[in-house]
Amino acid sequence: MAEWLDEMERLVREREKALLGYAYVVCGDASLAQDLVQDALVKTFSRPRAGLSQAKSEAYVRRAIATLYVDHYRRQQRWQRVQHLFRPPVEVESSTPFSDLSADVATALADLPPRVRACVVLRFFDDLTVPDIAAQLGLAPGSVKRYLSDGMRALELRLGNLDDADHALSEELAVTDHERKIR
Amino acid sequence: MTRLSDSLRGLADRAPIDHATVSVAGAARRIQRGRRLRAAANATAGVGVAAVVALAALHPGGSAGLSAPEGADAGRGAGGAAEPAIAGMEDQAYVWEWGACGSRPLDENSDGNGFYASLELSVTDNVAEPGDIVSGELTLVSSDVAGDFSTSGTATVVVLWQGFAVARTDVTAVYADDLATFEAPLVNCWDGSNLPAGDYEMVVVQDMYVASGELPVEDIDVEENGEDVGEGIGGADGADATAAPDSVVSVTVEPAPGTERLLSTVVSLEITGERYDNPFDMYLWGQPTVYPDDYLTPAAARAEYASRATLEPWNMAVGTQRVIMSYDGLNANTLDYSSPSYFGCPWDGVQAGTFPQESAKWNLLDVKASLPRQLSLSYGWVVDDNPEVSLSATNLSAFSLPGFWAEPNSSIVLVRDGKVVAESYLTSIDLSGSVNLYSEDGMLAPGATVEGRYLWRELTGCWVGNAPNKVEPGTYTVLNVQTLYLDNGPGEMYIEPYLSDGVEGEARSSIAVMPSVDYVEMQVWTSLGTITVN
Repeated sequence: MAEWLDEMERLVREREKALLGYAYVVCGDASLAQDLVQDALVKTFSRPRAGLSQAKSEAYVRRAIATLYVDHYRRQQRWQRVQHLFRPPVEVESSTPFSDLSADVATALADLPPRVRACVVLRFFDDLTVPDIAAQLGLAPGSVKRYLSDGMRALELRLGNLDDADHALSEELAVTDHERKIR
Repeated sequence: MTRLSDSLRGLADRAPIDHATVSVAGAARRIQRGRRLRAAANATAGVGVAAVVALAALHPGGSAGLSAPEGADAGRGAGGAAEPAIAGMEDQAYVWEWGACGSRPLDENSDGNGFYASLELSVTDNVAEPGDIVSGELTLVSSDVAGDFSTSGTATVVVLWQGFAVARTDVTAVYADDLATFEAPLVNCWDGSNLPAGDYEMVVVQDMYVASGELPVEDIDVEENGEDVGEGIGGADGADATAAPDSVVSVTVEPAPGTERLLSTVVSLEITGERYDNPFDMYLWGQPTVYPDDYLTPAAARAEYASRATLEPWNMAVGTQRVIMSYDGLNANTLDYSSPSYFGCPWDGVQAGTFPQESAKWNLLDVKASLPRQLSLSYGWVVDDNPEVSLSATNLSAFSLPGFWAEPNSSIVLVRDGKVVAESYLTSIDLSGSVNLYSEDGMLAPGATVEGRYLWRELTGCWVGNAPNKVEPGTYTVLNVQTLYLDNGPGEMYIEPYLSDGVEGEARSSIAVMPSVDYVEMQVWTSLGTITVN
């Protein structure tokens, strides 16, 4: 079996749920999360990369998930601005019970515009700095700061004061206290 | 207090993804299809080669003799060859015609360095005038080991404006001493007109082909488990078989055909002269929609709204109307159900809001409806009859209003004590669902009317908790809402400059195409009368 296929299979076998969970945090939709992970795998493994470890390949896929999500939004942006005029919103009930906090976070995230949401996830889930997020999403650092500021304001309205909110706009510091295993 | 970072990770752990799966086979098929397409494209480019360039080359990673590459990857090395990634694996056109007009070829592409070689581009002058022909040089930078390398003798020069390919010319590029020169006209690839003044980038793409019979056979040292022990990719350099440990054996690497698409380095190019805003919009986006002169612009809407705004509560008397500014593009993050300008069923499933404190007494639309006097419900369905409702909306303003393509919005809400308790979407009487367009541009001119005929078939109580609220018998006020989404048109586009996406090996991210439109959303609420629910 080709190395890339072997690696992709192992990654999916061992980290499928983690990747889907991450994609869900990014996009807030289980179906879209599935598509995002699938597309991210294709994007990551389409180009042979020598010495691709599992941790590294997972990091590639995670980055690709966030980028693909924002790209998807960009392509759909014009349509999204007017789609509510053509069809009523569809509420999809989840069969999986959330804890109150998860439900609150999910609801609060869902109300964030996609770019804001992506910035918040990359900052607070992936520990990326503002410049890193800007590079990742192809935005100006100032735009990222604005999105993070807007996002934190909206989230704190819903969730109350957040301990790590002050770290949102830090250009250098990681949000979490510990080193993330996968960067 | 809560840590957002912890909450997000908790959300990821408990995400409702039980039924979501990832198909490795599906992903693998897409990847292999993309590789086959690229291999086919490159092999085709290699046929009929015109020039042969001596070039250092080594089979990727020595993998041919170590682990047989799949058929789909023949000649590429299953795990080692550094193919330039090409965007849109499913998009054959993208593979066959890199840098097509209007595409964004660098978005997903690699840095262009192939395994065998890379290309360095320079131009004689980075400043040109409209109509100039640019002279450039391509330098083939090869790796260290010998091999025979061929090109078709042509390369494609692509000029990019804000990441979009706007000029594309095939040029002769034959290498002598790893150096080729070319000349390319600065004309756009749609109609051949001169590129206008502005800042551009230029990149050259060229397919390279290495015939298998021309490659040298290499002996390299590997561990018995197949791992290459050499240094770097290929690993033959410096390997000393005599000094190899017991577990290292010397194997012969059979060369495989190598084809790859090289992208040159990117150079900037300025065309001098008078600059125009968005010079390629016509080509990239087509003819912008032309709004009528009397179109209600967002700025005019704000002014008109402000002049009529009031804090006086709305009594919802029959025939009265209020307009609310439900969203203003100048204010961030107001388009959600928590907005103070939201009116409707409760957004949080708990508490219904009253009509927004601020609204405008602005008779924009004359909305009329023929309502039944009473409605008999069972489980939310109208059971004693499916009363027909005629609904019409006439533009009373001096402005053309957008969004009226066929019929008025038939959303109905029932209100009691100033709060929405139930909602209904009237059903068109046309069972086939065909739509008779009122307007090709969706504009409702001053004095014009749109109308429709509907059946009232259901009434849904607002959701409270996990179930819709039961609509209690009684008398309710019936309101209709017409939504006006106003923007300043698609003519003004802003393209964010592209940046590295920060992923190692992924040089460019997709470009943000951000319409810098100004927009507002207004809702026109009209009281249609009362109805008794049995």
